[in-house]
Amino acid sequence: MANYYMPSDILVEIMKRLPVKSLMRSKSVSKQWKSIIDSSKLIFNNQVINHAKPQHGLLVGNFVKEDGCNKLHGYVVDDDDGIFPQHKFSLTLPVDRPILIGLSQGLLCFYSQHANPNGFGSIKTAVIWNPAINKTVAIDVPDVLDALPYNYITVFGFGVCPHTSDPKLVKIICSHKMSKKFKFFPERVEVFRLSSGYWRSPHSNQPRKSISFTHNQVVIDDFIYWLASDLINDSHMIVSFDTIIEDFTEVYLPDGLTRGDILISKLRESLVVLENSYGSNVRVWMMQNGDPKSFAPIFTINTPNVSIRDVSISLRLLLRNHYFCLIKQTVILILTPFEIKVNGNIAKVWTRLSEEARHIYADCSAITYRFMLLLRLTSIMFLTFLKMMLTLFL
Amino acid sequence: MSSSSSSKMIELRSSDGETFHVEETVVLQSETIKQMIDDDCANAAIPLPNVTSMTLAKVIEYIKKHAEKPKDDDDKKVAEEDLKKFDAEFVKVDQESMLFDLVRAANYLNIKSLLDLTCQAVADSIKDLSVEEVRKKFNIQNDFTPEEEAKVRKENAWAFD
Repeated sequence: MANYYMPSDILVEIMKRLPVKSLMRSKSVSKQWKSIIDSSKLIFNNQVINHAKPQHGLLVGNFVKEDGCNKLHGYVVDDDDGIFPQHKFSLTLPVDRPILIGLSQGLLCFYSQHANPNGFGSIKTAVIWNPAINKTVAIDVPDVLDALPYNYITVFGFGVCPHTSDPKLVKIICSHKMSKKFKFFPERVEVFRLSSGYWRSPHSNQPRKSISFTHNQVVIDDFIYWLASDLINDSHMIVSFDTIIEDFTEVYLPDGLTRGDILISKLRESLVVLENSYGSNVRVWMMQNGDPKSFAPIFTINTPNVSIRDVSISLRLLLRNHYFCLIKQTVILILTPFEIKVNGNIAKVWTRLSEEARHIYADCSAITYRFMLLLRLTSIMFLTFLKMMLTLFL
Repeated sequence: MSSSSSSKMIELRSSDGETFHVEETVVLQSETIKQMIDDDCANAAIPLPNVTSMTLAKVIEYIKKHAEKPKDDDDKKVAEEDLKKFDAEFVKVDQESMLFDLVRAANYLNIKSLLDLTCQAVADSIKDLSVEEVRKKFNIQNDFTPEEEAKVRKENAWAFD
């Protein structure tokens, strides 16, 4: 007789491979299926990593305070096969005023701290959120040092190990950039693996104490990269963390990038540095094949039609706060404090989406702050966009 | 490793008592069997009480194919293409229950690539099905009350468009 029984651990493996829409529909198959899909085992949807079609959903939302709860109202716009045609959502976050740490493989990680209602100090929480299946996992964060007078700060990193699909959080206590002395911290680095559920020191090396990390981070393949400062010679550098072997590596920038106004980002699955030192121009440098010696300028974004200051601000916002997003080749969404006027088809799409974003903005009167982000800013789209900018403005 | 040790044969016995002789290098793709060999439990035939002879024959076909080593880089590309084709054909089984048997066998024998392949095949086969069709396929009784089911469906209404 045919045997249709499937143990729940195999069902988890099958469900991980379902597209999001099928997965959500499968909740109504039976109580067992619903409880598996609701369990934290499925915070991660493999569909995003394993298969040819990554989901390019764009999330537009606003954090609001509503009846004493922290809510994120928003919608997901489009994706490659229309899984979320304007799927509206409203999510109650277990934290107040969350800050985005990072995003990897379709998961987002926020950090928040708020006053402890039962005593002294504050409660620190990180939240891993899979917006596609509307599920969150809250993680207590111990030992966060953020006291400026003591010259140190705590910086986080978030990345999903591509081999084990295990989300990992990295917490680094480091010297403040303005610090002149490199303090000694006994437990400087701790790593949290969602699979194990606790924080521990990595077995491998620790970054040296004379490095000050920034919150500007990006995840590419196995690595989390942070923009950092070398306090010894006061220059920019990058530090990477291998999410598989949990090892830090220092990445040195070419001479032209060690000073000035720079940010790191991702383009075509490669690390890029955006250099904002030429007034109206932003020069994009790319690291090829993970080799720091291969950093080379690949193009410059030139925007003569727009006031110099505005463009540099917008690019900063784009990269630092994700105010500015794009989907596919033609759809661009901007939410900036100003309007950039362009001609042609792109402007049309631009306007349409911007209006929707404003609509949301207008819809929520109790906004604590505006929030937009891109789920997976695929680099090809980014490049296409930059090319369009070039064509339009030159 | 000498050629004599690489051709060492391991005997596997299915749940219905049939025995299969497979090269050790091939069978090591199964973490479960590898563990047994490492623990020195493989001197006699290895009993696999959860796997029928029909399923085991299929699994052996799979691991034999995946153990083939390409000779050079050119050959490697051809071999990769060939393996992809093989995998695609492999999961096209006549009887649906066979695919389920293979998933369970891959899980029990702990052959990761086969588990990935078969779970993906099951996922692909159910992704466009209605809830009722999924229940039928897995022989699952709907244990929701009509009210409960309506509630779950309402919560995920967008997925039913």
